[in-house]
Amino acid sequence: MREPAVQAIEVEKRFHRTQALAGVTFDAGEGITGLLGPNGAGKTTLLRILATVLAPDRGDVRLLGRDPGRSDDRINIRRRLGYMPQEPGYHRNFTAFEFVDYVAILKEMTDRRRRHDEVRRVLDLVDLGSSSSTKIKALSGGMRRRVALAQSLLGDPALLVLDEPTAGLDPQQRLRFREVISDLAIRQTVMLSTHQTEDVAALCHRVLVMDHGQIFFDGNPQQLAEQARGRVWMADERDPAARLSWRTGEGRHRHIGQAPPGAELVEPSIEDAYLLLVGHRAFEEEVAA
Amino acid sequence: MNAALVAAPARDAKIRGGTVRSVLALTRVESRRLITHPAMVAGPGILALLGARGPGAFHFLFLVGIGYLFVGIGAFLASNLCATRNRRDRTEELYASLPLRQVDRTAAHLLSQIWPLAASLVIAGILAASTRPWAGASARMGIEPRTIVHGLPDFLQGPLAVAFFSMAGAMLARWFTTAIAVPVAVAGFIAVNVVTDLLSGPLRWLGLVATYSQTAPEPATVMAWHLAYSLGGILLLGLVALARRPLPRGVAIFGTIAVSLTVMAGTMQVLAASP
Repeated sequence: MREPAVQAIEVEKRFHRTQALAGVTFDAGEGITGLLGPNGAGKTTLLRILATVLAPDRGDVRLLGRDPGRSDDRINIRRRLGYMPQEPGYHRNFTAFEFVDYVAILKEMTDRRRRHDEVRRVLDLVDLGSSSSTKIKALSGGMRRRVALAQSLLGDPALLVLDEPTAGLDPQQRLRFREVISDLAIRQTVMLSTHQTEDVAALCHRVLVMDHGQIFFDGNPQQLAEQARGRVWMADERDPAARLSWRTGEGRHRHIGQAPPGAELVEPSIEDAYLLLVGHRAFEEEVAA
Repeated sequence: MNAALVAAPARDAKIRGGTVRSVLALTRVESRRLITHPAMVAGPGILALLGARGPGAFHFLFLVGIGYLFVGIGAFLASNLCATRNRRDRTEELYASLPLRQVDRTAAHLLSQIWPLAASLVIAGILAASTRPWAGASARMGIEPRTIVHGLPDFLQGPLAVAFFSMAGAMLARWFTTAIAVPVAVAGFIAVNVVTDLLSGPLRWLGLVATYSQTAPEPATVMAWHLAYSLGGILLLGLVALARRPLPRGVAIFGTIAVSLTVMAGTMQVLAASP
């Protein structure tokens, strides 16, 4: 049996007084695994550990069958890794081509002609082929995100770690992103964090929901949506007692949790389930406090 | 679906080279960035304007060291800005996930400093060709402040001073990412030279560019020691930039050699110049 590309066992990470990760255990193989969670849940810390940028304080991590704690293994992992940080910096005076080419050199791609072919390929993948000679300072925020995505795709990495890759992309670009990533995930392992539950529903075969440095849901998107079955309601009026409710575009009110008077039960979405899970935990903490 | 995606080949093994080849590839990129950096171009640009007054002006600028100072400060600033680019542009997190390590990137920056040195050597070559020190045992230039040229080795101290400045820029990048670090360092350097009387007498040979005494003639061998001293200093700066904990064996060995060379040559040149 093949070893999963990502294995994490009781991983802990602390920044001064903040416990960013508190015993995270999971493994992930080929396909797309989505990380959902509120800000400060520990998603970025976990992805930075998977990208070998951070070392855990405790616990074991194995990536692509190797131990990132060992110097030789770490270099070998990095050779087969693509990473798009949440806030990737850019050299503003470089063109999109020059920047991706620079990263390609840092990925040890030394054959100039083949490297340039590869840079053109990944820029084409993210629809930046025509803007490759434009300086990054002249690109829009969405285009810069695509430059960052392009560099992560260099060399067909076996493990792709993407931290909020769709932030700042317009709907058309997000669709394009889904097309590219879903194709890669046939043979590669993709870990992505997002706040967009639609991305999770559209892309991920598995979803991990995190909060306070822990994973408290691990399953597929359908199973996540099932968490809210029987607890999502539509009503004409807002229930003052409701903890989670909002007015929809149709003028009705969507309630999550207890049934308001006269409400009708509706099919739950992943977003409903996510809000229910995260909101429920917040409520429990409030009560405990 | 994009055709490029469908045609994605198994490219990994064919494209990848080792760390050394990657460092050399990065050196090529960094060299191009360095020599086209505005700070690097500005110095020679100003000199070209000043030198347009004629060959005499060109000789004056370089033989008294002003020319090399211009080029050196430009190289100092440009190399520092190139070496701090990753941190100023906040790409460190991304680069930390890539196989080429920070020390490899520093090595590429250091290797790219060959170009300011090469440019200065070309200038020195032009000067030497026009001054023709080999035509006589001692070619003397009647310019103010007076500079006495003994021979070809004397022309090398300017280029080495430029190399020292550019290596210092890359070395300084280890600790300071702010763009004002170099101007502050240059101001400090000038202040030390202008305000203090430390580098007078034989001790002036501890400076980057030294001239022979007009009152107490010094042997030509003092310049050979001075070049060895400058070379040791340049090597030392590069090794300080590369030093990490635990100290790599190669850095430790070459560091010992560089320190020994600098101290020995520094002492010997001062002794040779002492009355």
